[in-house]
Amino acid sequence: MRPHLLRGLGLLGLVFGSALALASPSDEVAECLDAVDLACAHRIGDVLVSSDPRSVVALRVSAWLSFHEGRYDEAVAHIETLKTKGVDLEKEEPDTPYRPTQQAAQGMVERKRGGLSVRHAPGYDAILGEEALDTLTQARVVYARLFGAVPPQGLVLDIFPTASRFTLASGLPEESVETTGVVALSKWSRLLLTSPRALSHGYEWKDTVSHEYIHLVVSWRTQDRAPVWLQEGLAKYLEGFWRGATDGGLSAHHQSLLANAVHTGKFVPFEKFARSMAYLDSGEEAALAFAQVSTMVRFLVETKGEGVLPGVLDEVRSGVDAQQAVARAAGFGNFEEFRAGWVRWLGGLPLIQKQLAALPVVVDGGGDEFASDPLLAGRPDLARYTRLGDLLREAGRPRAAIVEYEKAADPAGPPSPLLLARKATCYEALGDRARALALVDEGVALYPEFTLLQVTRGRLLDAAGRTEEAVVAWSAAHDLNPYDPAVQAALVRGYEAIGDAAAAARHAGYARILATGGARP
Amino acid sequence: MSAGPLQQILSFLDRLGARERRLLAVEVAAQAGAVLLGGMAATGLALSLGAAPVWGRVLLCAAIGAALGPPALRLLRSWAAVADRRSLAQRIEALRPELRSRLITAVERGALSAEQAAHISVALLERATAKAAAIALSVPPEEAAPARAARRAGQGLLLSGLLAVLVGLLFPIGPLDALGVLLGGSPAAARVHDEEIPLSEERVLVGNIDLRYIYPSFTGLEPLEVPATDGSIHAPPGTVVEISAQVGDAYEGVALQVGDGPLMEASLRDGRHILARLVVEGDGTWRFVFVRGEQRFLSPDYTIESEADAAPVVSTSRFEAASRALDEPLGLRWSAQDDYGLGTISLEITDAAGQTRTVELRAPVDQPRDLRGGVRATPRELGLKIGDKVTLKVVATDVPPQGSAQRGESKPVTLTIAPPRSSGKNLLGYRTQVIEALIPLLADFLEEPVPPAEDPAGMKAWAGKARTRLEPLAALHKKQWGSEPSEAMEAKVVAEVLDQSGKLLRFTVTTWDGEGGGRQTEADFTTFAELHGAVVKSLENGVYLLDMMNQQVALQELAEAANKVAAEARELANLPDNADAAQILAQLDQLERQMAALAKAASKLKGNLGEFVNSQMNETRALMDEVRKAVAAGKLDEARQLLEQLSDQMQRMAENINDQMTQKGEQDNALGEALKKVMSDLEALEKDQRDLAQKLDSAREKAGGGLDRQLDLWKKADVLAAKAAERSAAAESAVGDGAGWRTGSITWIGRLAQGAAGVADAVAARDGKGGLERIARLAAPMRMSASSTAEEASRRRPAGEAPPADLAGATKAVTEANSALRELQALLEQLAEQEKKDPPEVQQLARQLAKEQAELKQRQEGLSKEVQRVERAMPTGDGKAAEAMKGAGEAMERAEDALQQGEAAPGSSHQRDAANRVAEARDRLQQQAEQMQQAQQQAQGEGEGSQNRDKGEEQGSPSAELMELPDPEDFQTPEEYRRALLEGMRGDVPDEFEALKKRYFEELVRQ
Repeated sequence: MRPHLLRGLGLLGLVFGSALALASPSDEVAECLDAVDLACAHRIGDVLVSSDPRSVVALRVSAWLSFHEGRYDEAVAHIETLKTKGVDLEKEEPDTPYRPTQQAAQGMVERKRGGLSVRHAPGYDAILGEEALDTLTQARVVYARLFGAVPPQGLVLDIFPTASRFTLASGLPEESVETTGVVALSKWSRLLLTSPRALSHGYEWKDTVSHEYIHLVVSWRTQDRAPVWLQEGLAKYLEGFWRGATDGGLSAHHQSLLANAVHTGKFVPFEKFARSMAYLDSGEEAALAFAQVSTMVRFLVETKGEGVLPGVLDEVRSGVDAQQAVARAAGFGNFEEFRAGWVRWLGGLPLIQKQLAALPVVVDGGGDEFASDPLLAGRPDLARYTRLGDLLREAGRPRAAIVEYEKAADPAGPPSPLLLARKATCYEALGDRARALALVDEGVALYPEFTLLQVTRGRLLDAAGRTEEAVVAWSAAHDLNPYDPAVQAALVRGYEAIGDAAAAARHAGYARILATGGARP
Repeated sequence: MSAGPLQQILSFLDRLGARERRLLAVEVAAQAGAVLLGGMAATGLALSLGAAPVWGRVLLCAAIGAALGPPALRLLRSWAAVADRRSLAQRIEALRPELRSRLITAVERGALSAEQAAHISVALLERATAKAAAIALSVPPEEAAPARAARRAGQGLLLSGLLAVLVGLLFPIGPLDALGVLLGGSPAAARVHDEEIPLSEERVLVGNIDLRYIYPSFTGLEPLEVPATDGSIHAPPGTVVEISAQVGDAYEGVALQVGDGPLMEASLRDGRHILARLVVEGDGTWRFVFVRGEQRFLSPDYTIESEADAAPVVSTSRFEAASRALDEPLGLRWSAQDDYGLGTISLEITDAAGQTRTVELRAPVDQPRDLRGGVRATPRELGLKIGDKVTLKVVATDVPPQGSAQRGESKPVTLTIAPPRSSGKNLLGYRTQVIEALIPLLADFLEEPVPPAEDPAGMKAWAGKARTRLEPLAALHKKQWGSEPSEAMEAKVVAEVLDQSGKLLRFTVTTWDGEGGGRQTEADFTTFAELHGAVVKSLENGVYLLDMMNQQVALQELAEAANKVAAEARELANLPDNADAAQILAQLDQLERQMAALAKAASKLKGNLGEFVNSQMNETRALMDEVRKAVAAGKLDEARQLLEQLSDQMQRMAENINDQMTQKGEQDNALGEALKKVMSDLEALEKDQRDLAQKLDSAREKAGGGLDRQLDLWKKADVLAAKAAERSAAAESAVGDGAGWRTGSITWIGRLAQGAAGVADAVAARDGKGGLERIARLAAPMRMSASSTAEEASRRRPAGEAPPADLAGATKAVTEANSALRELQALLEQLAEQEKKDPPEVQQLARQLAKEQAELKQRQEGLSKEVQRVERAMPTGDGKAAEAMKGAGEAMERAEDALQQGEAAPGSSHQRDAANRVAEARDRLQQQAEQMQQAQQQAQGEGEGSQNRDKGEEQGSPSAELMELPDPEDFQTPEEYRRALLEGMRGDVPDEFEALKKRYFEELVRQ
């Protein structure tokens, strides 16, 4: 009897206590979940559930917990039971896609390691499972060091095979992927990712996983009190740290935007995005805002060292204004001074001055062959010359093809990575490998995330006998788009050549997945 | 040895016995007949008098019983007795008492056994026998066996017969009718023949008249059943026609009557269903005669047409179009019928000159009475040429039983042969050939330096090389289209390339020939570069447009294939959990086929979608291999699990493809909307610009500036300038490829054409001064072109060189162009005189309007960007609309400047020029949009055709409905024919044609 009595008293106390502090215990669970604190949510929720699992509160909490922990079938079952009790959770929470997520995740397979759970579609996406686990494992270590701690709970990463399934599960509007370029989310204590296969030539999906994980950690560390600008600044700047890239992850495009802003003094006013990035006018403005906040964090870290970050997060968690916390941590009296210092510091950075554009996001086989090129996507007139060049190139007339590719270039617009890659291929066909390599090097420097450039570079370097460099290029191509059998074959050959048998075996495994349609992972 | 007396007696008695039997038989038969006839007569009488059929039947049955029963009994009883020797002997003893029992004794002695005979005195007996023989044999048989009874019976029969005849004659139901009643007939049926029963005027409605013709043997025709006829009989004489019909109301009896002939038997079942038959003897009519109650009724009269041998009847399908392209299947469907069988079917083609020739279509090995078919041949295959106007008739001959064959023909169809258009698969193949020919050409032009040489020899050599390079394309074009223009996109783009390259080559040959213009100037090289650039542009446009069309076809094929794959995926998902290896493999095979179609479509498709589909298909294929491996290894559970994965993958892929197709459709719609808006904006801008110009002109008119006169002059100038440009261009066209012309002549005509076009531009821009300057610069080309064409007509030519083909045309055109230019010059001078300085108030207004003009310019700038955006988005966009907009902007700028200066006349001219250029931009966009639409529609048609072709049939052409079926006579042996049919049956056809195909083949096989 005693334990029951104690439990009953405990529950009574909890209920009364909660009633004093909050409207209801379920609100408290909700707050824990908002703060990505699953342990907290369980601490309260489990008591509610065990006392009367059929009660509306218990069912509601169970549905939330199941949904946050990636048990979608259970969540939907709880919702159905709630309906029988006259509660329509889906109507109450129209922004939470309970049932769509269940649909989107249908048929996915799971891979687990040390509390991490990665789910992906069967088939080619089996390649992602292992690498995603590696990425998260490494990220947990690195970001625990940088932020002082990471959530101790298990973590679910869902990799949706298509952009449409991702949007279904994310609750975002259908067009959001192509209009805003959102391919991943950290939400509901989980990470949601679009498979790189859904994008026309892949993308830096591992850094994206890391980026979203940072959001999750920062939310947890600050009890979800970090403003968007700080969230994005931290995530953008630190997203490559998991793999040891500490250069801040500024793309060439971001650098060109910043360089222009430094030159003209036309930064995006901080007030415009201090609360939300949604108020920005255009994609270019959003990109500049991201570059600004990312470099602000970089400025902070480079000024005071990595150790400054846990303190900032603690202060934000304790309710200190994020701008003030950052300024103080960086040694400035206020944020204005910090901002002025940052602008001065920016002026000293070696930024790419060339006018560039971001690679358009093209998903699920959408758009024409030029849709993923920043120049050609918006210029059908130039794309026409490129197509003519392609036809000439395919007909074995590389010299003529180059003429058409030259016509397709617009000196007033951003350089086209596709044209650079195509021209390099033509020069390669004409036997001018040096010129070809110079072109792809230029392209990779500007658009390292353009897979075709990396592949062309790998091929050219292989042909030149520069195996180690080729492996780097092939590896970069693999990181963007691991579904190309030619890339896997080249990596197997390359790693064998440089004596890395383990890596060679790993890529041979990926090649096998591609050869068997994922039936033999 | 003669017989003894006993033998003589016995033989005599036996003969007598036989006579007795005969007489008995006759008597019995006569009695029976008499009773029967009497009964029948009585029955007929009773029925005629209104007795119920049942009583009639009872009476008749009783009569039959009486007729047959007692006589039969008597016969049985008396048959043996009448021939008994002893009885006969007794009868003779009675007739000859002097015999005193000797005859009986002798007869009995004959019946004794040897043992009995041994106790009798032989001598006495023999004497008695001899005596008896002598007396008995003298008795005549008529006396011993009289025929009285038989005679009486015969008289009774005669009497009964008489009675029967009387009843038959006097009463409607005779004895035979009575017999019919007994056999189930109606007493009324018999009454139908009674002419005394009044005929009703009302005609009986007869329906469902089915005729069965049993043809005379000489026709060799099988019986033919024709259901639901109108009662008309068409048959050769001697044909037996079995008629089955039905009437709405019930009748009691029916008969058939041919013409006014006697009524013939017809049977009536259930009062409504009639069966009858007649023999066709000649033309005439037939009808039914009905009886009900005390009234008779007639059916309508039906015709009998005796067909000795009619000519075949031929009809053709409705021919929609009055013209057919040279390469377009004729698509003329025909059907022919003949009464005795068809001999040959042919197509008669009569040309405009009345010449007729015949193309045999069918010559069946048997003589079918009904044949159908279609003419799939193209006009080209029928030996026709473009522009031919012919009359077509399908003609059939028959195979008569005797005499010569008769001929039947269809209604004539008049047809004009249009230029080839090519279609479907052929066009797709041709397009690919054109692209393959254009790409190396484009590459050659792009790779060579411009100019390709510095010296005349080098340039001439280049021209020769370039001409050679163009030859394959020209040959391909000529082979496909002949020398006639075609509206097909493939023809247009090649024609443009050939036209542009022709200009380049003509210019090169004439400029670097050394004969025409002396030393080459920088301008010549610039012109060469421009013309070279125009060739490149035409090649680029051609390649891009045709490639885009191919892409569009591929996209449609992909969508179609994706839908099939999606359906297959659903099949996979529905595979039962306990599906066995064979089911799984069958499903995989099915899927493999669909995947092949998808792969084929994807391989033609460039871009992300193609890559995406390829990637998905690689994954699916790899997975399918794994499923097969699992099945082969007997791991069915694993195979089923993998199948689920496969199904999921495929559904995903199909979903994505469909999404992309939808997206593409939306993009096209968005472009369409943008185009619509920009066209509307351009129209508004043009209108506003014209209104502004009109405002100015009205003010000038009001101020008395003689504006009307000026406007009239400008209108005249427009006409003259257009005429000069058109005529000089016609002269250039008449030069053709330059054969037979001096290079100098070609050069001067070319310069005239170029200059005249410039003059027209100046006039259109209301630039009178510029127009005059340009005409002045044309003095030499005008003079030299006239003199050189005159010289071409009279100069001596080297042996073998023919004079230019269209010298007369060129000369006339040059003369007319020069005349128009001279007239225009005078007009422009007159205009220059008239354009005096405007009065101050007009100048003031002009300055005021400058602000409005600036606003229009601002609108033009915004719209210009939109025009450029839309034009760029269109695959057919060539930048000309944007160029026109640029020109419009410049004209607006000039107009604004002029207005600001208070110069109303030039201001107004520039305003109108600007409005014209805006209109030009709109026209250009319109043309591009139409071209794009044409390309899209053509590609779309091909895509659909291609999908249908995959199903084994062609749609979209008049021949679509014609199935490719072999004619039996095309085969050497029936076996070969059947084999071909079976092969044909294996081919796929669209579902909706499956049943048709099956029926068709079954019918053919039965033949």
